Amino acid sequence: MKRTVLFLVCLLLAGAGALVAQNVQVSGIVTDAVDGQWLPGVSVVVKGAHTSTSTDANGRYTISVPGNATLVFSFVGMKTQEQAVAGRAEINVTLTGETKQLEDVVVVAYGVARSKNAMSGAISTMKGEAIAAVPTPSFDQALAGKMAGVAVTTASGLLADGTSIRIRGTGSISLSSQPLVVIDGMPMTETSNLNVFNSGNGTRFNPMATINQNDIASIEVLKDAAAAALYGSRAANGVILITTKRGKAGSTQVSYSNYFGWSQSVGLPDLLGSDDFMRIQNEAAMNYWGPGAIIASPIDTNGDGVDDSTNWLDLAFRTGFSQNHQVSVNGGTEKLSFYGSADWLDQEGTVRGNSLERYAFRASVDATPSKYFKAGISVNYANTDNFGVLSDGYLAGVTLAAYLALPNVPEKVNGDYYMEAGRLAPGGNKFSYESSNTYGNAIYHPTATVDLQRNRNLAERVGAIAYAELTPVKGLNITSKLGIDNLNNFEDQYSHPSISGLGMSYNGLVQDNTAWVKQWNWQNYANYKVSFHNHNLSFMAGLEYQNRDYQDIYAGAYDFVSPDFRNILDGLFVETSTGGTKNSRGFMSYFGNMSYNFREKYYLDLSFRADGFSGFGKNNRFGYFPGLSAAWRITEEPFMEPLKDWLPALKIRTSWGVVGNSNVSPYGSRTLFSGGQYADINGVSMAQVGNAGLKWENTMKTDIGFDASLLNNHVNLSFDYWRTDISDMLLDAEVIRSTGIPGAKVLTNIGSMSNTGIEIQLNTVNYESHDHGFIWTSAVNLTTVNNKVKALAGDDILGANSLIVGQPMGVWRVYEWGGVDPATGRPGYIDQPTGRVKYYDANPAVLAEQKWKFADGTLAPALGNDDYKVKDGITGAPTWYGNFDNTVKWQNLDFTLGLQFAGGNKILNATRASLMDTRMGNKTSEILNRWTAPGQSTEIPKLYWGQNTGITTTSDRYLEDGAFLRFRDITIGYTLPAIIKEKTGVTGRIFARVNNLWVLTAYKGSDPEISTNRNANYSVGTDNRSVPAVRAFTVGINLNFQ
Amino acid sequence: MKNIYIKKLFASLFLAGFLLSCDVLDQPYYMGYDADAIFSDPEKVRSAAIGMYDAFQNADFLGGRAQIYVDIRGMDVNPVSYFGSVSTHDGTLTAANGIVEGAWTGAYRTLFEINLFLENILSHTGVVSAEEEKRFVAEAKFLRAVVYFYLLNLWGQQYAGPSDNLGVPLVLRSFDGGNAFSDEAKIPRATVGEVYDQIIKDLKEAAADLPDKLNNAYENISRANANAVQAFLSRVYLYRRQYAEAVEAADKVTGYSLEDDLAAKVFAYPPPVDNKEIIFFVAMSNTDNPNTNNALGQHYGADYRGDITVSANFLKLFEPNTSDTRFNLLKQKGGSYYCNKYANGSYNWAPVIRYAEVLLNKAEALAQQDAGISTAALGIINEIRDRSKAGKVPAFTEKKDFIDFILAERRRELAFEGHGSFDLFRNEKGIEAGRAAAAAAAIPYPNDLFALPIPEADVTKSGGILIQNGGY
Repeated sequence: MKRTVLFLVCLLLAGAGALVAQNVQVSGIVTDAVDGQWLPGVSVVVKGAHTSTSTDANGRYTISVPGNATLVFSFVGMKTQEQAVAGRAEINVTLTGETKQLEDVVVVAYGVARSKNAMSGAISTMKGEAIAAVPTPSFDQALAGKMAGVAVTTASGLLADGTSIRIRGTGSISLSSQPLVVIDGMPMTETSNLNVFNSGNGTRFNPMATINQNDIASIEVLKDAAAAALYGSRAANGVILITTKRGKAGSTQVSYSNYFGWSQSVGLPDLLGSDDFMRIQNEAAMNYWGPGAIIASPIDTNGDGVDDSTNWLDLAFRTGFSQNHQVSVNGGTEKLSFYGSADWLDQEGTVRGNSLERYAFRASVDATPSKYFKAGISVNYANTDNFGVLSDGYLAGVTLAAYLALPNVPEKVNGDYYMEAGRLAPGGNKFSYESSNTYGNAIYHPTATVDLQRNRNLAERVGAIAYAELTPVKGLNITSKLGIDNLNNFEDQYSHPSISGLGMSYNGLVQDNTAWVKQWNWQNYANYKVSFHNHNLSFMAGLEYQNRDYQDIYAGAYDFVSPDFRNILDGLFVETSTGGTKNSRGFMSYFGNMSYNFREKYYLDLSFRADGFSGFGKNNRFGYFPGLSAAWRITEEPFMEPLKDWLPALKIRTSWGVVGNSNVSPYGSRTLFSGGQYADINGVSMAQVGNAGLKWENTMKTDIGFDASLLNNHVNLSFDYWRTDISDMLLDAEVIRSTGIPGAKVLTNIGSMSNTGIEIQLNTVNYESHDHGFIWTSAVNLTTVNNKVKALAGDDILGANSLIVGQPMGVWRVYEWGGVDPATGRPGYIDQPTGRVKYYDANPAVLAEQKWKFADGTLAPALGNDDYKVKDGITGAPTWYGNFDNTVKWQNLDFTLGLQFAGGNKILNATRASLMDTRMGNKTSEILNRWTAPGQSTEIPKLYWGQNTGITTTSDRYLEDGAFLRFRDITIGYTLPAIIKEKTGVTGRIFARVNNLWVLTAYKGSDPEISTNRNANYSVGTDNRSVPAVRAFTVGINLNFQ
Repeated sequence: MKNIYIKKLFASLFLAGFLLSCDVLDQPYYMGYDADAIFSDPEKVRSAAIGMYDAFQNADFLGGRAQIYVDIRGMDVNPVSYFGSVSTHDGTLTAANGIVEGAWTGAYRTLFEINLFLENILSHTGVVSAEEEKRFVAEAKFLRAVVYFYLLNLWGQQYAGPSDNLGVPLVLRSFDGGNAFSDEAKIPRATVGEVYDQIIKDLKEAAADLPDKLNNAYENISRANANAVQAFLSRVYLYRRQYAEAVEAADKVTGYSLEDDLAAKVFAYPPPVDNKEIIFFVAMSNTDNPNTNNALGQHYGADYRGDITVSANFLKLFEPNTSDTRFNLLKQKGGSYYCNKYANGSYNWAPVIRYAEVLLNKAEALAQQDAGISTAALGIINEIRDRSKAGKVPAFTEKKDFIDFILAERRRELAFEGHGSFDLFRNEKGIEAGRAAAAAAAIPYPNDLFALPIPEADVTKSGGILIQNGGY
């Protein structure tokens, strides 16, 4: 069909000169020659005049021109096309990629660019629009469910919590498995959490929140080692390349966009009300102590005759609200172009007290004074103010406190928080019945803990990049690029004297930590391109230096004059403490690339990098990383010609390469001395014994796949089989102790494992009708990941998530649930040596050695180490995941339904387990099904107060299927009609969106993707009272003035 | 042309880049020093010498725990539930025991620091003056000898046996990440004789190069001087039953005397630095000590952790209503007696050697050499007893009885300072009945279990090179 259109265009062109010049209305549609999609924003200019327009969201344009005029269609990344009007009223144009043939060009590294046809490696690309206006604090969260092979999960529903990004599986056991993020060619700091208090486990602050996602023009993800080899020792976990927006030659534009979002926590537990709570508590107490043991009673503190009752979830959680406003300017000429933006993001989280506000600015200018020379500068600044909330892992955390809080006490009495000894006052409840049983949960006051205290992050990021590009002869580009990235965070924590813990112990404690990360990077490289006799060659060679300094300074002040003073200000406190840490690291690297193709049919690409890193041992200062890839466009062969109609394009490609993981401690290889005090005498003593051989983890990646276009380009299919073999994995290896080495361990390159899988991406145009302005497209992708541990430093490392040679890392190892004995209500587990079920009698009258019995009443060994069962091949990480997106456009309306799915894993629902704890504290309604009478069939044993064996014991009873289908994104948009543009010059779109509307899953917790261990490599898939995920409703508008 | 300038600019940028390279790959360490930087700077060498004492102060070994293990494996305290089977000799102790592993690890960790210092100072000669260099080397050798002495007597099959019984691995060098996994790191156990030979060699070499007295009074009691070396030699020779040498070494200890008040002078925190009795103790301060879970004063102190109670065996060493002031170094609380030598919790210094022991070493050696009752020895014991108002030594006719009295005097005088089980086993004595109920029975000598097990982790890792003690 397209061929026909082109033919007609040519035919019309031929006759153009004969027509008389007069003003005519010309309209048409501009489409992309590769996929037939309409191209919005294409500039349409009358040659030699000042008349211009651009295409709307449906690729349509209308312009009034003299009949003999020539129209110039231009679009970034596309070949500019001229069309003589020649009296025509309709001119439809297909634009092709700038580099001779079809499609966009992707810069993969250091000026090395690849068109889609020429890509022989596995690279996913996406446009910035796809993540703009997604109401997340950082762009990395918005990447979830967008690309094949890229799994993005957010630890919790807290704003600015860390994000776990895994490209084709998890690549390390000890080191970070996060990909390298490169923005405009500059590698970013790898830090994934800027908080240091509570060892970074309390509140968390993800530095990606300092990057304004509205400035992102495109994202490329390097998944195999072909191009990633150019990033050497940092590319083991893949590379995310971000290109920010820059000025375009052509019309000058001012854009304004905004969104307003409302969010709520999804999947909060169903907690007991006052009456059920008291009934369960008293029943458990009477089972334990005997009749008459009442430990929970109502209280009426305000004397209104109504027993007090509080819904703590309503107090601790709320409807969140976000708004974002961005203004940007963009424009320029062939010689000078500019881009600038200012952005304000204001978010109130779904958890009381949680908020984030960000001001972000970016400006760039590119100047091309001559064909020999080009230079540009960009700067960005962001100021972020985040109020964090303590959550999982801390009794004072909002989830633990609000879930446990007693429902039969008031929040406040006479305006004061209802507290005793720094915690929620027990009211009519007892934490112990007899003095011998004084243990119990410490229940913090859920609102006082948040309202009276402070966990603040004030972060600033300043970045700048300057480059100069010299073209002394045609085909040769020499570039020098210098970038700085300075990130600092002021972490400010206040603990109130009335709250048990630090605040109470220190009579008010302020802890402040200022952390600086200061990085510079200097790249110098040359690119050369040459073609002869259908041989096309390009070369690149360069070198790069990078230096990063980290320093933090801590100050604490306590014993304040009064709780009114909550900052470290002179004269208002008595005691102080200070401290700090500092480190630095540097890279020096040489790299090169050679790519070759013959007739754009056979492709060969070689990459190489030598990476010197200050953290490697002196015997392994430099790592060498090769990558090679090849592709064959079979459909370019003459013998494929007969199939051209149904198979217009087929490319087979393969790649192999070695990359590394250099996220080692900056001084891990060195033998170090630090302060070694001997009583009153200061000295130095050995702090760490070095390993001069310490080096990167070695990651070998192999990929074989194909890209096919079928049925007139209506179906595009990519398939990859990939394999990653990681060797020299760094693990703490135990030394023979008589060596006396400090800690008796040495970090050693010793382990190995592999990840394998397939990746399928299928894009289809299901139905299109240019006449009716209707198009329906689908995109589906599927990734599988299979991990296997091959070698460890010594023995298997056993735990709930175990490291066992031959199993995937983090394989579940738990007790096996044997059910509740209907006759007695006792919990049972499988006695692994015999395979029989043994039951636990929690009755306090039973002697300790007689607690465990088989069904026949014979004594059984207590549940112990022998009873753990390795759940063969099952971990907390999904083994398959993907997305299924459908987009329908009809005239000015567009509609997207984005589905996300994953599975093959089991999740440990520790939230569910802990909310059945038999001690004082609220429970989930599930506990109402507890065993009460002989013959009753239930999964909840008879309750004995304070006896958690068989209740909260970690077993496969709480391992739940993690498979899910998520309605990730439903968007409806309306593009402003052409009439508005004609009258005002304004184009734009309004939209409404729901993120995470609904999740279809068997998982009983809040969300199958929530992970209490956040960015962990193998301790994944545990949900232990993390803040639930968020559902968000957003409306917004984008307007362009030109 | 303009372009030429630009090319030149680029060329110079590339050149500058190469010059920068060494900077980015050699990053400074801010929170201390690289090992290489230490031994090229005299001030840092002096600091590193202090670092050996910091290592010697190991919380799992000579910071107090080693002394405790020597005593809880004897008979003057009751079995300690906190230390479990380490204190019972009842066959329940296994090679996987974490406390034993911790002590073994702590001892070799100390040796690591000392060996590393020795290697470096010997390969970086001339950084400090020859005199200072000799002194530091001597200090290292002294500390190494002391660590080996405790190691050997805790783990070695030294009891009643010939010198070619198995001792402990003699590690006289340091390892690093590069060779810690190699076969050279799998060092077999040397014989008891070989370890003692090394100890004596180190001590003799150290004695020659140390001053008799350190100018800094604080250091004079907390760092090695020649007197400390001779004092320790007298103990080593006594253990080896080389009595003449023991007397000779004891006689070389000069300038010391017994303090009038043990509690106020020797066991005070901090001890007065003009102390005449302390020869070498491991110094502690309120900011640098083994803390709640490891300090002597915590484990022994009635008002602290109070894990360890004094046994009836010890109490019966004193007459009822004794005038012996050493009895006042016990504290009664809740029906139990506790050692009160370390009354300041975590802060008390850990004893290694003091002048009273030198006198006792000499007395015992003299008594052993004498065919009858050594009058010289008698005089020394009376001197010891006079200080504590314990009355004169009763009259003895049998040499054996007199020696037993000297050994009892040693128990009274040096109780809970890390001598208990060593003094029993070296004299081929077992544990008498009289400890608290669970382990009340006597445990006769010899007994395989009087030596601690070599930690299982090391036996396994050595691949059969480390031979386990009998009974484990």
